[in-house]
Amino acid sequence: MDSSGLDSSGLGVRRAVGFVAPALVLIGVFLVFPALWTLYIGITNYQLTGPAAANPRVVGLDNVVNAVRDPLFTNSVWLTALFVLGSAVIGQNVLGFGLAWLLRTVRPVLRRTVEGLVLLSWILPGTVVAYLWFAVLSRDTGTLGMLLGSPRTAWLVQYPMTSLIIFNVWRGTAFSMLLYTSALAAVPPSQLETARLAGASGWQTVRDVVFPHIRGHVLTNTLLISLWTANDFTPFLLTAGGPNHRSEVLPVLIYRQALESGQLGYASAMSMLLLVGNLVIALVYLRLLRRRA
Amino acid sequence: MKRRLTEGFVLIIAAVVAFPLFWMVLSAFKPEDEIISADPVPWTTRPTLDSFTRALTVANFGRYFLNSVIVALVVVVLSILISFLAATALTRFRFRSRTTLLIMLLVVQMVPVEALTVPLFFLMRSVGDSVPAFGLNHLGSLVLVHLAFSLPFAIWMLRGFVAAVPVELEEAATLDGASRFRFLWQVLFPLVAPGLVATSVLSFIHAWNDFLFAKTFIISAVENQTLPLALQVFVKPDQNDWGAIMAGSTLMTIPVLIFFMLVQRRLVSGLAGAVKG
Repeated sequence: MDSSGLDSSGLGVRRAVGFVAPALVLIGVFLVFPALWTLYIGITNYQLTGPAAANPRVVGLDNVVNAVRDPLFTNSVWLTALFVLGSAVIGQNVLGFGLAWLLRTVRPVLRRTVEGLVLLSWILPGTVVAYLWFAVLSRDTGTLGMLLGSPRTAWLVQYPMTSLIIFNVWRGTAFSMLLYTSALAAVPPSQLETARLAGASGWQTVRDVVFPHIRGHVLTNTLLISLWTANDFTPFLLTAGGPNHRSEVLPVLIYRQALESGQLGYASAMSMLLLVGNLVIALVYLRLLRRRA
Repeated sequence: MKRRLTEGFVLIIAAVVAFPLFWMVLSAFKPEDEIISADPVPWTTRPTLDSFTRALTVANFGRYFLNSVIVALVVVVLSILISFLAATALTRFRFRSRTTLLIMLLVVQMVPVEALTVPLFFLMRSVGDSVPAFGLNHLGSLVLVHLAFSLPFAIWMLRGFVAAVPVELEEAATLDGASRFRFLWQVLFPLVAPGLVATSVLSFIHAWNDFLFAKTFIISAVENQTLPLALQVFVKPDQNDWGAIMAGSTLMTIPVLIFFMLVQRRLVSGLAGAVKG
């Protein structure tokens, strides 16, 4: 607590509460309350239709136990881990840093163009982007197949996860790039100059001079993009989990179990597990961040 | 020499990134026979507006467009106001449960959105019983949900910006006779503007791009649908109307592009500041 005390700007309790209230009410009613409701549904056998829809019964942790034993769920956890690791932790991180690093030295016109394009693919509507990629990747009429001279390759069917990972790297690199651009701007140029004079290679410079400066940024960025990727629903628009569950990441599995199979209780229990997974990732990140100090 | 190499490499990346976007606009202007042709070429000699006409007339595009704009703008304006007030109070006023509250704001961002569609559906149905304009099948329901989902991140980001404004400035303003209200809107608000720009871009994108909630809440009121759903009209089991889909997508992209160009510079500095804070 700093010396200026409890209420550094003399806001007053009433005003402070009044300022926070609208935000807290909205978040409380439309985010926290439904989330708690989901937790409750997760311990019942609630269904969209049938007898369990009218009289849901509390079944405790049965749903969780069933999920852990369900091959569809374990398959999905595995795919989600692959998706997060491949497209966020490695893909977006490395490409985002690489772009930020390279763009420092190129002409401003070129830099702004590339930045603009990368950002554009980030802010475009998910539906638009999904249709776009569907058109590029689909069989027979798919653009990529045409260009590579193998029109019969249905990329989304034959390599669903690879397609999703490449798609997500394309879509999400912008955030990492922006973040690393600002992080790199904070690295003292004199140190880079010293490294250059000492004859350090590009990789040595990054590892020994740049990285210690931007460690916090790397961790923050990795956390945010991992969480966003783990919760990303866009794969549904591209492959809908298919073929034969081969690209069914958790958000897609949850959605399909809830609204296609009507297993609301079971789906809620699975989203609870996804939330727990997210929390574990966040805790690991906080640990790593604290070790810096 | 090295710079040439780097620039060449960067250009290749730019081309790869731009390709799908280029293809979208190209397909929107291609005549129908060229789109379904087995031998597509990356140009067209006969650009046409047919696809745009189909998108605009068949699907009542204008109406959906307006709906999307209304939802997105209302969400942006309200989230700026609400998150600014909340971030100010949370930064300047220290109370006992503040840390808990801040952690809560971080945790709620991790809740998988798909999980909430079912409880939110029931919630909106009850809301609609008392206030129809905010219930199912009305745009108000989308505004409420998008607000609730964009606020935690917005508050979290703005905190750093508010904290960066020295308290002394506030004291000086008070000494000069400025009321608390004037200080808030005429001094603090402009100072945190880069942060507000960054957060408003994110809430705009959230609201404009949403597919899940629009699909869940707007069930029977076709006139209240938003753009992402409207595009689905052209997706048919037998033969997708790619021309119209791409034309619709292009049209849907334009407002994002305009909004984005207005704020690009500030967005970059805003994101940078938010992470440092």
